[in-house]
This record gives sequence, C-alpha cells and structure tokens, in this order.
Amino acid sequence: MTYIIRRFTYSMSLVIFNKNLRKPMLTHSRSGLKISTIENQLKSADMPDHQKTSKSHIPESSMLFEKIVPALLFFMGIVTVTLILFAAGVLLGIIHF
Amino acid sequence: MSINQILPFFSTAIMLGFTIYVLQRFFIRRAPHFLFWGLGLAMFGAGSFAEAYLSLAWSPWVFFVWYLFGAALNAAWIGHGTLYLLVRKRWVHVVTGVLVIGSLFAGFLMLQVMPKLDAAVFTTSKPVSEQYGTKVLEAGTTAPAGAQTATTTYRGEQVTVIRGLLPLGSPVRLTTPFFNIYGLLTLVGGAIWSAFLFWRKRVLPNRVIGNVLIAAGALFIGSASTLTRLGYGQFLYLGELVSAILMFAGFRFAARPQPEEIPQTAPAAAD
Repeated sequence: MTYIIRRFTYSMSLVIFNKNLRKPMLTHSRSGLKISTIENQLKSADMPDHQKTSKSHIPESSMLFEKIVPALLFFMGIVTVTLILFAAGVLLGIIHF
Repeated sequence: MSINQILPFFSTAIMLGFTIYVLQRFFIRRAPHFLFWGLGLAMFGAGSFAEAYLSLAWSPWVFFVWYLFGAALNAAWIGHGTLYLLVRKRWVHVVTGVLVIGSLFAGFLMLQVMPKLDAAVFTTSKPVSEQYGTKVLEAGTTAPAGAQTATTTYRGEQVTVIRGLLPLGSPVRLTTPFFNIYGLLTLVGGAIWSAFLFWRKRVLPNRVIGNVLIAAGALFIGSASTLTRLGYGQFLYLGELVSAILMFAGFRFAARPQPEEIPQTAPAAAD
C-alpha cells in the first residue's frame, strides 16, 4: 500500500511539475492498478508540420506565398537590374538625357 | 490647385510620420540602421516638401533642397540603413565614410551651381521635375510646346538647348546615378533578398510581405525618377506618394512582433 501511494505521488508530481508530461494513464496489469505517465512525445521540433498552428510560419497551401510572392520577387529583381543598368548607362555616357 | 500641387503635400505628411516613427525606434534601440533609415526618410520628406513649395512659388534654396535631398541623396541613405541591418561587418563603416564624403561633395557641387540657376524659365504651371534639367535638342527634332530654347556652346559645339533650371552639363547631375545605383542595390536588393530568405525558410510571413512592400515602394520611386530623367516628369509626384505609402506599410508589417509558436498536442493514446 505504501508502495502504491509513493508511486502514485511520484507520478502525479511528474505530471504537475513537468510541463512536458501529458495526462497520466491508468493501466491494469497482473500486479494490479498501475499508474504510468506518458512521456511527452510532442516536442515541437519533431511535430509534423500539419500539426503546427504557428502564425510565424508561412501556410503551406497559400496562393499568395506559393505563386504571387515568388513571381513578384522575380519581377522586382528584373526591374531593379534594368534600373541599375540604365543609371550605369547614364554614367558611362551611353544614354543621353 | 492641380493634382500635381496637392500630391506632394500628402507625400510630405506621410514621410513626416514615417520619419518620426523610425527615429523613435532609433532613440529606443540605438541601432544604426534606424538612424540611416530615419535620415534618408527625412531627406525624402524634405524633397517632397520642396516639391510642394515649388508647385506654388520659386525659391532657389528650396530648389537646392529638392535636388540634393530629393533627387540625389535620399535613396542612398535609406539603402545604407538596410546595409547596416543585413551586414554586420566592419567594412560597412568604411562605406559610411564614403557615403558621407560623397554626400558632402554633392552638396558642394550643388552650392557651386546655385549662382548659375536659370530661374527665368521657372513656372508653377509645370512640376519642377519637368523643368529642372537643360537638355540638348537633337538635330531634326522640335522642342515641346511652351519650352524655352536657347543656343549655346557645349563641348566646343554650337547646340540648341531646351532651357532648364540647372545649366547644361552640371557636374552635380553626374553624382545622382552613383547614389541611385547604390540605393537601388542596397534598399531594393536588400528588401528582395530579405523577403526571399524568409520565404525560402517558410517563416515570418509578415516580414516576407513587409519586405515585398518596401521593395515595391522603392522601385516605384526609382522608376518614376528614371522616367523623369527621360523627360516624363509628370509621374514623379504620384510615384512619390505611392512609394511613401508602400514603404511605410511595408515597414509597419515587417516590424510587427511575432506570435509565439503554438504547438498542437496530439490526442493521448487510449488503451
């Protein structure tokens, strides 16, 4: 009995004080009632992406970020290079204004 | 008042708010990129204000502010702030020195040209961006309606020119492409690069959007300035206003604090 109380108290303390542990699980075994804890298997770094609800990540199936943003970045890159070449042409006297 | 007389006032108001916002962040965090952004934005705002003033009246010193800060320097100083943000190396301080010396030199050249300004051609009926530069009239072409022409000697040849406020061949006009190239590379290139990095890593979507908006805003004013050089100065004021709005919006977007990662718990296994 003392053993069971000690074991229960230990398990509950792990649940209460360790935020990585989730709810305790009761199982029956040959020796009787057994209380065990489920270790946290949900470290955020190992979580599958679809389980993440983070707002600091780009959503996976977003038209804006999958198509529009890369197209805009490419187009703006082209325009930037064109403007730089124009300014260089003015400096070198190739383009007269 | 025409639309070209009203737009610069709106641009000035937006740039004033933007400049105060950025400089406030500098005084809190003391990061050099905020200082250079703030100074560059203040130059942009000064240029907008000078345009607004010149749409109503002439002043040679307001024209000085318009050309030096609005046309020549502001892009380079804003872009230099982006360089400080993205590159944490000592050589950036050397580039700072070059920028400061170059800016002072451009100011000196502008002061030299002040006594030679052709104020007689100035009119409030046209934007200053359409009348600031003296251009050689190519043989066989006719001057636009209302343009004043003159005959002068340039590089040993008699040429017909369309008169502008700055005399033909002013050295200060040759400094502008240097500053603009540097500003394009650092400001636009830096914003595009930052947006690409965050997009590739699939993180911080607000910074992706913010940097896209900043790059778009800078390209707007860069394109409008280029068109001005080609003789289409009527787009400059609209370009400035759109640029101010986009860059301010982009900056606010990118500067938003990030929410914490919220991992979702898998349901506990049931036995």
